[in-house]
Amino acid sequence: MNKFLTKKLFAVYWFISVCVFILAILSISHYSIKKEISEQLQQKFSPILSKTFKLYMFDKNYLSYAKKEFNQQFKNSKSINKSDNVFTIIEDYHLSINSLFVENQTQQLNIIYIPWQFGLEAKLAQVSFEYRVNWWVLVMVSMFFSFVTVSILCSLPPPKSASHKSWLLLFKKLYIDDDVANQLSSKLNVDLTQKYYHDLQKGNAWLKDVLEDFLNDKRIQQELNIAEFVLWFIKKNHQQCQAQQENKAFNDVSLKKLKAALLQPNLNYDQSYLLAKEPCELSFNIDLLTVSANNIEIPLAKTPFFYYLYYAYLRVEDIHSGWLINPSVNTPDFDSAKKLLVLLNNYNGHSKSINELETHGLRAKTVDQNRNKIKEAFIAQLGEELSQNYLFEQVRDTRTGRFKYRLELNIEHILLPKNLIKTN
Amino acid sequence: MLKQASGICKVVKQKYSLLSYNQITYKLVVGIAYLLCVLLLSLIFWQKPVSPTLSEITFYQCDVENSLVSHKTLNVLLPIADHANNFAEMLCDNKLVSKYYSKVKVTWGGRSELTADELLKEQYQLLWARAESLQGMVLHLDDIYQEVLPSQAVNMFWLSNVDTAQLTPAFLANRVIGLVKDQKSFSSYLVPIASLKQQGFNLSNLSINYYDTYKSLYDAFKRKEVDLIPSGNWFSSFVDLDSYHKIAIGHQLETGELYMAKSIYSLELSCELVLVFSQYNPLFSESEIEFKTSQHCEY
Repeated sequence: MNKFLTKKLFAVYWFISVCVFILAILSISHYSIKKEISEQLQQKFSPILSKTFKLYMFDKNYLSYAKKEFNQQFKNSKSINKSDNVFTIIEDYHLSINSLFVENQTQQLNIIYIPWQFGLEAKLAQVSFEYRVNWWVLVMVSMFFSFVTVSILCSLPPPKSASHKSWLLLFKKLYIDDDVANQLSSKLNVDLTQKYYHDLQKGNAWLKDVLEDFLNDKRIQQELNIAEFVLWFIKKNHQQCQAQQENKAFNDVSLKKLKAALLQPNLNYDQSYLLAKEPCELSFNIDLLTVSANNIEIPLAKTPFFYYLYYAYLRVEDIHSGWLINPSVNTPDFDSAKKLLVLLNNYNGHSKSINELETHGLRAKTVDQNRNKIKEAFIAQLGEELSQNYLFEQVRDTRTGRFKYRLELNIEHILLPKNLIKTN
Repeated sequence: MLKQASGICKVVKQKYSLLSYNQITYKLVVGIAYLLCVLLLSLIFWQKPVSPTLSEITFYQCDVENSLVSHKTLNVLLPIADHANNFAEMLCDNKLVSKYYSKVKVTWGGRSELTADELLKEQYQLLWARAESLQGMVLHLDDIYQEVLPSQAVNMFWLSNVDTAQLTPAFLANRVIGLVKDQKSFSSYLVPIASLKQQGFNLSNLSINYYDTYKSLYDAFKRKEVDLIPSGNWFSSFVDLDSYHKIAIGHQLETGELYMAKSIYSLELSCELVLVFSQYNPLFSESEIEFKTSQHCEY
């Protein structure tokens, strides 16, 4: 049953339908009785009447006698006037003659006119019929029939709204599965205006890929409101189309990344979109001491920020190809500590960290700790999959046998602050 | 594989176009579907009443008052339906009849419908019929039936709606004569035919229309379908005889004798029956002819 149809409305339809059925069944019954009896009597009664008055000449009594006699015949055959229908809605037909010599007939509900020949004159016998209606059965049957019909008719698919249809049209172009398209279309109760539609023509290949992928992904289905996403997509697409004239809005978006981003609970669609854009970009703001991955700000504590910046610096400046070998546990790396201290001192680093570096140098433990903090911060914000691009790759140093680390990103995708002080 | 896939896509497209009907079509479809359902389901209740058993009315029956016997019926056969029930009621009220009968049944039928079998079995105890036709049916009629009242002869005439009507070839040349189909009918076939033969007409040269009943004959006359019909005074109920032109027919019409079955005959009863039968006298008296009574009864 159609979900838009409430129970109350159904009851109203049912009630009206019961009335219609009662009326229809009564009309059909009445009409059929009238027609059948009329036909039967025309066939049988007409010749009988003609014969009965064959030898008649002038006796007025004979007329009333014949009428009385025929009425008696009708009455006697009343007992067999039962229909053989399963549901006897109409019972006990009864016929009686009003008059045998009527000239003109008038339309009346329960009067039948039987034409017959009196000599050469055409006469009409006026016969009235009565019957008893079995109301109880009639109402029950009507209720049942109404229930069945109304139920069936209400389960017919309701018409689609204009927006629904335009959505369907779009999804049809995308060759998206019928049922899914229908489901989505009914959820998207936003008019797909011509403006948007035009843009979608450009972006549809991408949307198709995304939707197809999403519709096959159970996790996405569960956690993402696809309809909402599609709406967002349309608006974004429109924005981008207007901004760029040409549709390049989604060409540089990685589907895999987007999916990962969308599944991240603390990222909205726009953020996901930014993150999914290729290539991955990392930028540092030295004034605010913040780091942004694809323009998404990642909250970092002061000290890990400087460590991260130092790794980025090494990568960008291509010092040892960006690699920083972990100091050994016993001998801290005072060389690197010195360089780090330049950053910390110049950009308002934490005094406690400065002290530590000055006194103990760069210790393996501190480096590991801060790298882990950076990793945690990224994963907390972006999730493991997306974070990986911005984090470290590690290799065992063949000379020292210790691990060395560097940023995975390419040099050109790391944006260091322009006025960053050179440390060497 | 690719072709197959695109084929599937086409099917999908078609399915969409099926779904995309608007609000008005939807309402129309639902409305029409509903009405069809109502009509089809109501048609289950098309009634087929068993037709009543009917038969033509050919007799009148009544119970005799204060009857002294049981299950004995006095059967009477008359050639006309008029006054039959009156006649029957009078017999039922009759004291003498009540001595012998518990019921009276007066039947009417065309004179030609009586069969020899009915005569021989004495199905009718009282019979109004012509001697000629009865004698033609059985030998020794006198052994079975006793005549209780002689036949009354009545005058007949041709009736025409043309004032100058006369039985001449010139007048009848382009006129139509109306008769009754029943070739045993004295009044409307035999007597008028005899009258025409007497005038020397060749019947095959005359245009004659035949009708089923007297009523039809007179209806046709009133409609001027025919110009000349045989008639007598007793037909005054059908047409106003005085407003038409009459040509006398020399031959008188015998209306038939009243017979009583020999097996029940008694003078007393026969006289009583004749007395009751006298209710038909007006039929004959209009003919201005002497009324014949039974010779044996005293009134």
